[in-house]
Amino acid sequence: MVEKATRTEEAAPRATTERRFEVFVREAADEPLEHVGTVAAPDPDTAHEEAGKLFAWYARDVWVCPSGETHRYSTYSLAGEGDEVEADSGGDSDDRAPPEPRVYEETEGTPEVGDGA
Amino acid sequence: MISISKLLCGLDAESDGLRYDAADESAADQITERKQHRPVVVWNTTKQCNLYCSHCYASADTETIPGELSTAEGKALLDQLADFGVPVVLFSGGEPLVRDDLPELVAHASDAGLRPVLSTNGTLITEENARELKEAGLQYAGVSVDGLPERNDAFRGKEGAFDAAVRGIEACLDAGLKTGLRYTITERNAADLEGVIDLLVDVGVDRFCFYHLDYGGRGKGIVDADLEPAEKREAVRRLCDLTREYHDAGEEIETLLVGNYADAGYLIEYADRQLGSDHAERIRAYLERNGGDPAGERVADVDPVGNVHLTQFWQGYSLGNVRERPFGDIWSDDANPLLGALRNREGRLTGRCADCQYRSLCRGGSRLRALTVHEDLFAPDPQCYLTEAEVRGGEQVPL
Ligand code: SF4
Repeated sequence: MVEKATRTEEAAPRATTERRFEVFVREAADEPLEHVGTVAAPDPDTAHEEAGKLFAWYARDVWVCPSGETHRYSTYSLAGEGDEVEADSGGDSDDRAPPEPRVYEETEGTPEVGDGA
Repeated sequence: MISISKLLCGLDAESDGLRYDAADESAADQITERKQHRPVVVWNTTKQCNLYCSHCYASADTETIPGELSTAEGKALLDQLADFGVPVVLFSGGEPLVRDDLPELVAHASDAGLRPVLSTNGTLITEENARELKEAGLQYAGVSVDGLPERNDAFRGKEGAFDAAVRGIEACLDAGLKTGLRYTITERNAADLEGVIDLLVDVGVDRFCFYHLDYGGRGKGIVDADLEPAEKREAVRRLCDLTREYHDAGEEIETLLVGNYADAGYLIEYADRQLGSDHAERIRAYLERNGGDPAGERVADVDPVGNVHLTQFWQGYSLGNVRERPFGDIWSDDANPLLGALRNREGRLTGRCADCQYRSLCRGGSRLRALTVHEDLFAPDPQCYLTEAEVRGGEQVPL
């Protein structure tokens, strides 16, 4: 039986001076979007401009999403702190929870990770 | 970081053990091979500061900001850095001494095998906390002073800041802590260079780090206060002359330049004219190993809420956050196209950098300044102060 992963919501702010925006880029139409970090900017247009300066030479698509409106759930936690929440497996039975690929090289702060065995 | 004293006067630079530059560490027994390929990490432990300096790259303020890393998270971060093989962690801010847990964090870093060093405005250092930090394992304190008293206090936004910093330096020296000056050169304070060195040598300081202004944080708002390239050249020349004068007088002060790798080319030109071509060639060979501008490779920054940056000055862009992924995974993520491009930047440089004879030593200088001024990541550093003839090579021009 697949053990269900337990994720924690990590809701700390990302902003230090002004808003931050998560940046996603796509190199070619048949490629997936990749998360490439965040930029500081007051609004989406400026965030796109800033991200464009860094990735325009590379990316076909640049998406920017407000960091403050992003809900992040992860099995990883920097210091093992925070409230635990159950993973949303799309159903109410553990049996239907999909096996989740995991990389297990890093172990610090990841006590909640099930190994799928 | 380029040591003028080491390159021109052959001093055994203390920076070999404290430094930002990985190539230098090859001489230090305690630094392993792996650590040579890992960045020095600046950790801005808080945004809070008791001063309000006009050039602050961290845009520090009077209050902490929501979400600063807790003591437990800070320790977890330090463990990650140690596991990744980071050689040095620089506790910075804001003003790191406003964090009550600073000695605890320094001790944790030291126990984890990192070399903890401190960047501070010095004004909150007392005999007691200097001793406490030394006992916790702190290896070095860099105290920021940006001019003689009047100018420093105006720059730092507080009357008495200079005297308070000097008291802090004295407390560190009394505690047996290696202590040096950090001085950001701008057009407002370039005239004070010699005066500040003379004054602090009398206090007992023997290490002086001069920073070129980078255009991040509030520094971005004072681009106009930066020296023109010709003035910058003049300031560096004066520092070279002064270092040699002190050395000739038997005072072994250590002088270092940070933040503009055109300095590498200039020091070679200077040595060629003043000390002979053999000396210049030895400097060139040394700087070839040094690696040039370190952004995204030999220096990294973690801000108060855990965002990882390419340098401490480049706060506008973050590669990721240590609350999402371990530092080592973020730093080693070759899928990030920007990180890959910066690490292989030489072939991408444009304009005069593309054909510069010092390109492999300098690597185009500050990419942040190029981005800020030219909006182009691979354009020349606007603060390169070498002449066209020096960039091309083959003909001598006056220093
Ligand atoms: S021209 Fe470019 S590569 Fe050459 S020294 Fe100046 S900034 Fe560095």
